[in-house]
Amino acid sequence: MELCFSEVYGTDLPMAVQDTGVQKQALFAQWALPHKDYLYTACLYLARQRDEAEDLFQETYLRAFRFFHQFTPGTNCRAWLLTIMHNAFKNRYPHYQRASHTIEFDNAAHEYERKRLADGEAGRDDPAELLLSQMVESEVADALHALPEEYRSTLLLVDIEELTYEEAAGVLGCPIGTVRSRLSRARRLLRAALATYAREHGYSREEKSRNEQVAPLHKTGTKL
Amino acid sequence: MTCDIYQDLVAAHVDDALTAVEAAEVRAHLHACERCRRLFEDETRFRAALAARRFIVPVPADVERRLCGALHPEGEAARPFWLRLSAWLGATPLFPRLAFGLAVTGILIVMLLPRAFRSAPAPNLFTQAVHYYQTVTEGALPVEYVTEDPQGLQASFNTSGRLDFMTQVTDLRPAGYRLRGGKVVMGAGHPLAVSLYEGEGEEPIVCLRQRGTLPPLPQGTEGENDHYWYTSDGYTTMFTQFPDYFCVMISRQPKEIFLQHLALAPGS
Repeated sequence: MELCFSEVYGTDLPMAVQDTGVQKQALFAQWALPHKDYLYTACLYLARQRDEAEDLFQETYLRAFRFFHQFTPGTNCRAWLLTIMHNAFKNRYPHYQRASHTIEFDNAAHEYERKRLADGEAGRDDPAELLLSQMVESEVADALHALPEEYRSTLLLVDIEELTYEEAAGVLGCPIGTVRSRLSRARRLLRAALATYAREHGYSREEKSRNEQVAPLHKTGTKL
Repeated sequence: MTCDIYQDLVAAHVDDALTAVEAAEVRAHLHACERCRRLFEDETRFRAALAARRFIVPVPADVERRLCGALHPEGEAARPFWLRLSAWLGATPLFPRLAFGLAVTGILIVMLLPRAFRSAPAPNLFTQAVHYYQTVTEGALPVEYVTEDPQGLQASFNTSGRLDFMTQVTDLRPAGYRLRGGKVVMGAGHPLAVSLYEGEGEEPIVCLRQRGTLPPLPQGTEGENDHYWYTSDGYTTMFTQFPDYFCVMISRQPKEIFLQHLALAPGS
């Protein structure tokens, strides 16, 4: 066996694109850095611990800078950064990738919707809306973290990062139909969990301001 | 349309992301199903509450500072070496400059003299794979069959009349890698099928296939049953022996991640 390089060196060698560090830094600052708050938020909601989120955030931007030549100008830079973040997350925490949670979903969301329908409340006065507007950041994060990873990622990309369904499908590497169904389930599951929590803690629509501190979901034992 | 199907479409319905055909089917279903109609109303209100909530968290100042510190060295490294050297020399007093010049001269003498009396070591399979990896990923060896379809590239290779074996092309899409294309390279009478894969934010993977059996592998190679891997100089290499040919896959990923990606390929 013998591999020979003579023909590699001897034939069509194009000039590599020479991009100076200064140009690269300027373009990166112009296109990628404006999304840093969105990316940091995504890291916070995807990882379970703040230090994990900060490591993921830094790794994502370093990878993005290193592979910036792969970015296609004119496309959505935030979606490109989120794709890198999602890949880095999968590589770092493969154990977070869980199997389907259909049974838990059915039990939680269907039971809540059935009860609302039976009580004649469906379509109006959902306590989940009220709670969502009153919860502090850590409580929202706890509620989102309690969602199965596949649902959390989808809801995060569409509802928080404001990607289109097509862009979210590209980030997650799945068909657009999967994004639709996961998003439907994620919202219904989150709504059911928040509503249950609101009822357990006596929230009512008249309560406009929160004077008492509400404990985070995971500390009260509320299960999604 | 059934309730189960609608419940999986409700988010797209609320977001007005249905096709015209789907929207018509949904309208017909909601007209007849009060339960799904209520679900749509609930979901519409909840979506509005989600949109009204401010979720975005600003990057803390210390995290941003750490990021800037980590990005800066890469930008510095991208400057040409002679520019950085001249900037450093220009800002340094005379004596350190002289000491630096003497040190460089000494190092060059120590390094170059022995080389003049010894023959260059024969390149092994690993060093050759690294060379191909660098030339292909840096664009010095452009792909000639540009396709993202592994089956298409396999057909192009096998009908080119330039290979002396029937090759396969691995599908790495389940691992998040997109095929960029391939090229046949002639080397010392042995045609070689080269293919390039890229993933978003991931180190590229280069695959080399050649007729014959694997040559002796570098010391420190691990593995058995025709599958071997070797890590050195930041490169991880996977060697596989097939009945008619052998395959070398190389990337700059850590071994665990690289093997994890390869394990996702169909039939691996």
